[in-house]
Amino acid sequence: MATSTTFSRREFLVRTATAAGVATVGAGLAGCAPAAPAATDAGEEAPAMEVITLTMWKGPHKAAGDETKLCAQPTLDMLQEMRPEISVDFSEIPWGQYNEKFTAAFAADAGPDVSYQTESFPRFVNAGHIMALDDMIDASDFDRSFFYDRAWEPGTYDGTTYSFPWIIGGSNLFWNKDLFEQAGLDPDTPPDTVEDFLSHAQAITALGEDVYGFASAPKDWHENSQWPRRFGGHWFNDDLTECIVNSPEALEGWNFLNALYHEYEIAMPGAISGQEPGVGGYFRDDKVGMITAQNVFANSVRSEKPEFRLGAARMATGPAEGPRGRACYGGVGMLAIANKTAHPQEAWTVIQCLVTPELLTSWIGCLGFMSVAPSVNFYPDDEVLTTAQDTLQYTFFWPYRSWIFKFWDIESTSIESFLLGQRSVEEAVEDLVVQLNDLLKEEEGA
Amino acid sequence: MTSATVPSKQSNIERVRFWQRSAVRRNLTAYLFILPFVALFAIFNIGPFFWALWLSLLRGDLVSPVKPFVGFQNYASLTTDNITLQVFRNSLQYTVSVVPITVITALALAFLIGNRLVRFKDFFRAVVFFPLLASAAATAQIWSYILAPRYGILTYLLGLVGIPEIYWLSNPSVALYGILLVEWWRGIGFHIILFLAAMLGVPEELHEAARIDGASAWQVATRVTIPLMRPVILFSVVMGTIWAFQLFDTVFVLTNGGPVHSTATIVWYIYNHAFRYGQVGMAAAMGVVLLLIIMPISFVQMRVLGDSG
Repeated sequence: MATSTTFSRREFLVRTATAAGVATVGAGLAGCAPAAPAATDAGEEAPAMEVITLTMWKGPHKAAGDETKLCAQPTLDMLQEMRPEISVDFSEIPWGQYNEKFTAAFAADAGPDVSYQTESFPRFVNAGHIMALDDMIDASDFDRSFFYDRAWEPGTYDGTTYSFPWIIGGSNLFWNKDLFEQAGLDPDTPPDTVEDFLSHAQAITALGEDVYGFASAPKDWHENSQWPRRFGGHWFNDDLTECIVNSPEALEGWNFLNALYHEYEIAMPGAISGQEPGVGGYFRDDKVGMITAQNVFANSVRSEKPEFRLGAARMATGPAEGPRGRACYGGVGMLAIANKTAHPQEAWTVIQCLVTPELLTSWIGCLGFMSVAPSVNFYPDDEVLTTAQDTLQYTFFWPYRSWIFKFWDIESTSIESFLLGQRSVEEAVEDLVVQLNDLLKEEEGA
Repeated sequence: MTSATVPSKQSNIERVRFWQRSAVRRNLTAYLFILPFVALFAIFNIGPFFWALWLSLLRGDLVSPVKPFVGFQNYASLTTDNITLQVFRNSLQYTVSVVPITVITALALAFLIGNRLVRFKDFFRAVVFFPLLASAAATAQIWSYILAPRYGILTYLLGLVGIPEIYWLSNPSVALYGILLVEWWRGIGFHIILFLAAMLGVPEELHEAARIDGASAWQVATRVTIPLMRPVILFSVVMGTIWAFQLFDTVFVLTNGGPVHSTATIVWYIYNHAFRYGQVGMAAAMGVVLLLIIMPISFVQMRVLGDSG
């Protein structure tokens, strides 16, 4: 659990004000300031206030119900204190039902007033269900520099801003300090290059028959797909019209990943890591020395096994120069307003309030994600999570496009096929590229 | 005037007589009782069926207000998509495996539970029926731990008798049978309850007569009881086949179609096209093809099993 859940409201204010600075807090709060009370004569009762209820949907980032109880509802209570004329009816929509719920709701023009959107949101933009936010942002004088510059990219579609950054997350390297020590490695020093990574993994694998230096789920498209980047490859050309992940550099990365499994045998076999308790479970149980995972994983390990000695840092670098060499998955979760909402101004107010440092910390900090605003650090005293904030610079976002789910399915199945030894790397990657280019052509012609 | 009035009166009288005689009037109350069902059936079954037929001729996302008409292009695309062909193969392979296994084991267990020597019959009935009442998603989640390679209880039990670790859900050659195991456990109770009810309907005198004629227990079961249960067995096979072709939730939770599409089924792929890929026309076309597969199979099963014996 995130430690922030135990903070009092006063502590939040003190911490965030310190971290963000008065000016930033002021800028963030401007659109969220309480509406001025109606002028009344002395002694006269204020007129009854009409409370507008907005619906809000979000996929859970904690066990079912926990996000509402621990993070969302306390935050929304604070929001209602700030803006008593607005009430938010929040629903956790399980990820397994996310697509069908949103599809059905928007198809019936009954989408939630405010919704949490991820990579596939252009589906709803294309169909006209999401409101453009540029006019509201300009009218409210919201300072766009409050967020990381790149956090705006995913919500900007064909030059128009359709959603507001809210959550940012990314993967980094996690390691088991106990296994490092047992293997004779410095527990506080992560591998710097992929060659170091391999030698560290070999040392850990040598500890025993059922211990592995590294693991990843064979179908984990976010983590496995970074290896071509680390070796200098790119997934797409610049204008996103062609998949080029079969370049010589990319193939070098794919082959390195494959060799971790089938040549060096330092990776836990995919048939094992692909089933329960999964990569995280085996890592927690001291069966795996190193993994890459999204930074919220740190909170899971800590809550399940408080004594676990967890190391976190940027990924070891491959031959690619700059941040690409340490490429990891990154993504932005965003807030959007339904085009058919009856209360666009109130929905916009809710969004502005939710990104004030106080409420951002109360909800997103509680979930264990990183802050989407560089001036707000949710975990100033937490070495591991602060590291994850620093490693955001090495994260790469997937294209936010309507075809993202099909892309992930093609991608993950192809990678899985060679990691499970069903096909050679070359066969799998060639097939992957053909399928993705067909998909891109199909979308271009749509 | 007169000549025109007479036939009119006559036709009115005929109409009244017809009304008095007609089955409609006699059964009016009954029709009123079934009207809500017919209305709901029309709204939620017949209407969506025709709507799906229409959608299969369109291209685009379900959420999109404009979906261009593309004729039979979606049906043509089905024949060229490798994954479509694989999901049809998987569904067929699953169906021809799960239906006979489930029906035969359910029949055997029904005979076991229905045996006069067995006590606590109601308890066993409840036990076998329970899995069907539990949520498919929840039971699938539990099975994902039972089937896990290192920590799974099934792996442990098989290990006790010397059977090496089986990667039930992550080995492409085995995964469909891992799903089959879970679905067998979930569905067998339904068939057992049906068979137990059918067995009760077989007159005891026939059993006694067969025994007096010297028939063994096996002969009584195979020559008297099972032939008389034929309509129920037929129903069981047809429903089992339809459900097998509609397999979705267990796959969705346990493997999401993997590894390498080895457990991807038709309905799983329909779901993906409709809700994830934004290709509702393809989803509808696959749904229509699924209907065209299930209909003749059910028809043949009814003819074959209905005529035999």
